[in-house]
Amino acid sequence: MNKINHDIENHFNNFNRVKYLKKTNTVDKVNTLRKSATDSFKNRGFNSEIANKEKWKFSNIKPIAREKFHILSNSQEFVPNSLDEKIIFHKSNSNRLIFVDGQINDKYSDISLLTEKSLVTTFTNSNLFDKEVINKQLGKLINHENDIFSTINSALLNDGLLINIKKNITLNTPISIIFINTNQNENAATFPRILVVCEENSEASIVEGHISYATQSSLDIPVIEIDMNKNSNLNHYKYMLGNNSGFNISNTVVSLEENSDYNSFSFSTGSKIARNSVDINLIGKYSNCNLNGLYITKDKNHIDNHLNINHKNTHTKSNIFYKGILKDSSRAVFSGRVLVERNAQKTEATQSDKNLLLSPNVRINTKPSLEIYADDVQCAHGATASYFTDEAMFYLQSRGIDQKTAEKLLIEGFAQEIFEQIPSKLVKNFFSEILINTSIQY
Amino acid sequence: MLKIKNLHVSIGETKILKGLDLDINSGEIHAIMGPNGSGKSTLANVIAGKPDYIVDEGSILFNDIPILDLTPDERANLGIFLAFQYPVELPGIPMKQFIKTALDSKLKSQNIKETSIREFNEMLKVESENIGINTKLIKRSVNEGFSGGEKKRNEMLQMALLKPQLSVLDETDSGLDIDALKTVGKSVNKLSTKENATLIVTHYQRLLNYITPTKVHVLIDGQISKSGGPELASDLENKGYDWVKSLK
Repeated sequence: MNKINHDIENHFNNFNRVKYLKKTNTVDKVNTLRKSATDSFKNRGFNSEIANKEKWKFSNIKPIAREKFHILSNSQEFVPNSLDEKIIFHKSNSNRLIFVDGQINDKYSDISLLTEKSLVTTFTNSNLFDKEVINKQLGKLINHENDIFSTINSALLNDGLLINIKKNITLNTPISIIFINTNQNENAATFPRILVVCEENSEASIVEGHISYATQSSLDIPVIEIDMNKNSNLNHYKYMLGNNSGFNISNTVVSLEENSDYNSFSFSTGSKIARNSVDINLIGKYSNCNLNGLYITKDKNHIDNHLNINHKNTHTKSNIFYKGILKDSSRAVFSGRVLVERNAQKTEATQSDKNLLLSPNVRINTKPSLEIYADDVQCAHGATASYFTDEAMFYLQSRGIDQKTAEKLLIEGFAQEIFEQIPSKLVKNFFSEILINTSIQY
Repeated sequence: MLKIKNLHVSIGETKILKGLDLDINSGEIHAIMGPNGSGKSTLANVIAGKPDYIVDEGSILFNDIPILDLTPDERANLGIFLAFQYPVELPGIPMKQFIKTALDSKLKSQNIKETSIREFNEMLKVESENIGINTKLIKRSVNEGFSGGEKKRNEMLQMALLKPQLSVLDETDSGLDIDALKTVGKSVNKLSTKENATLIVTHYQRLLNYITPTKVHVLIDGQISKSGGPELASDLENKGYDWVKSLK
């Protein structure tokens, strides 16, 4: 058993500190963030995180603490497979940036997003105005003392992306950012970082994809910070397609000002350990969030959805609606915590997690919880886990439909309820396609 | 077409059917009547192949093929259709996809090319109109939020489209208003030909006001106690099941 490292350079070795971390980033905040995060890692290491039993009750992060990972500095030539092609060339992803093993792929990305359309900018190439935004916002929503993984992301931050939706702008086509991990040889680690700022009265959609083909142990630690100003509206679609070798520990942190709307849809197939952590802060009154998710796991995959919503003001609304389909010996964890602060009167909060179990060897730990300190609120929560009903199966079979096809119909039907929450027809269609191409293979 | 011999069926430890014999030929309509708990629904479900039931003894032949070892879908594709007493709601499965998948399964089992979407839509439109199903329901998930009558009409719609050789109607008349009852009667009569057959399982005689059966059987305590012509149904209506029990 390897000793647990406290020195981040030792833990994530093989990267050339001179090459990228010692080089001062053109954005001041990146440098200060790296430094404070590196110090924070030194002080706490993985031990304090592992000791947080409540936070990691059902997901074992010790293997991540023990293994050594290598930061990728250059990527092989990328040859998309048929699934990649379906994803890359889908109409909903026409505004796309593709990152392969941590590097932007010019061939398959629409580089005009960075240049003439200037919807997205890398931190390194940002202009003075954007730098000001990054300096002001980057890391603002993250507390390094609370989470070792966002600390690692900050400490090893090479470059990130800024998506700044300007005041009064409505974007009709989603911005797609796709991270593909193809590395087969090393314990490859990537640390994607995205900062999203939605200015007043703006409206946009982001599709965030993570695909891993790594056959060796790999580690992805994405962090996305979303700052939503008054009356802004964001649809955030996210998919994590993993396999049984990778660790994917993702953090999404959202802060909502008055009357802003955050709608998210997350789809994941699980990986060796996949964690989808979402932290929502409803700061302004009448702010609203909708978190929808679907997880479909097979083999020995593991997915842990960890959702935290803080109602900090009056008339705020939150809705969590997740569904899971579990096959083989896979495992899923759902933890939804809604906190209603004392002054957050007239809060409305609902959460529900429903699971369809396809094998007696699967395991689901589901724990919706409510902490309410205000008295005038409407809250509800619930969780279910069940097999197909024999009645439904018999009904389908009695119509001449064989068992496999009947199962497929029932699974798709179960998933459909979540897809119906996706407002964009194009994106709905995109997710239906990935669903068919990834999980339900008979 | 259907030959049931000495059928003994139980659920768990409880014996339900205790040596039932029934022969149905092409072109016939049979009605099985009986009080609650006599085993009527068990018979319908066992013909269709519902799991949960244990066949202790006896045989069922459908066109001389023993079907007891076949799965429900295999039986359906041979031409057996069960109209459910309580049609199941299937949230998220659209009506059209469900019915088309069923139809294509049947065609596939006969090595016939599946229907085109256009042909299918046309057939669906015609039959929905015949049966009086609101086209809005066709756009919904299977049976989801349908009223009792709408669910039963949906069973008739599927029956009309799948054109089974043997239709088994399990208490299709229960909970129906007069209009829906008439629709069911009309559907059965319309589908009846010299080549197919119908088995109606019912507690009441009222559906038989619209369908004239070839034969009526009274099922009491897991056995057929009495068989006769259509007049037996009205005798039962007047005299009650105790009358048959007293004849035993």
